[in-house]
Amino acid sequence: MKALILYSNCSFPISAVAGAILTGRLPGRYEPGKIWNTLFADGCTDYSDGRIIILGRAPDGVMVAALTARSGKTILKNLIESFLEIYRIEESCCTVLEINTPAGLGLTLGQVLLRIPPVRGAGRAMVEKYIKKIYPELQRAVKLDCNRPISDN
Amino acid sequence: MKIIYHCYGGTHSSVTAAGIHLGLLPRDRLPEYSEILNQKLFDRRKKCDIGKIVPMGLDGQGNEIYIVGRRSRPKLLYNVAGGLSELLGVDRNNLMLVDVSSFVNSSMKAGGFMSRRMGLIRLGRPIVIWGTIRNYSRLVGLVGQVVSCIKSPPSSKNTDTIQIRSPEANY
Repeated sequence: MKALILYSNCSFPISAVAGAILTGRLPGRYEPGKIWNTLFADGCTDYSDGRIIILGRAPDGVMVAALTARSGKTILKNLIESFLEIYRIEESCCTVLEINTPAGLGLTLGQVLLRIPPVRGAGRAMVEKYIKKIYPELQRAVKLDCNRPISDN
Repeated sequence: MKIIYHCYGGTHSSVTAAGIHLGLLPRDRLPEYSEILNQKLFDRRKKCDIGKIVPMGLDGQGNEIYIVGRRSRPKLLYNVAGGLSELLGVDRNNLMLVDVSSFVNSSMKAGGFMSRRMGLIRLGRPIVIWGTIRNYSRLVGLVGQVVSCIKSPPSSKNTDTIQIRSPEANY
């Protein structure tokens, strides 16, 4: 079985959004509110510290998962590579691709507001605005040719 | 079964615990200075080795023993190991992660920092070895707990909440 792990070091699980576009859970064109209803219906947007979310299969049958960790690219790379080694799984069976997105003050502020119940709506609007802005970029990124494998630094 | 001992740097406490598990270090007495120092990888791993799961050998029951350093992020290790097991269809009950970091005393921390981070090997190494010998009986106790944990089958009532078998079991 082949697997593709989309990785981002953004504080918001952007890799999950990209993965959902790839698996068809999210449409090719940005639709307001769809991300929340599809990916974060449980209200949980905190996927930091290496939690892997399995998103389903891409059209070509590859299993797609998303991984978000704010830092520690080297430790992640080494962990994944050596995990495959100890289970004798060929590296070609599991590809890790990094989703690079520009840092956004709106996203950071939106995430802070999401944690405060009275202003959660405003926070959500700010996060959505940021995602709407980078949505075409994410779409291009999941075509794989725009990505590069997870690097050492 | 695969048993992974993990700690901050993966070069002192986890290496010693793996050595005890594999029978390379004694369980009935304190080891000599040279016995600790002559262990494979003891105080010898570098910053770039962080996160690399290294095989140490097979124990008497055929279990594979590994070590890994994961800085101060055990949750990252649990999440990645659990997620990859699920994604790649690996049996989670076949993997045990053992956190050794709570068995590290201040001498080991200070000596390890001097030797590994500051490069003061001549000064740091004797301190970390002294700290390891002082803490040795606790490490033997942990390994004993792991060995008895392997012999008992995984608890069925916990399988929904516990991703990977671990003596800590409450992460």
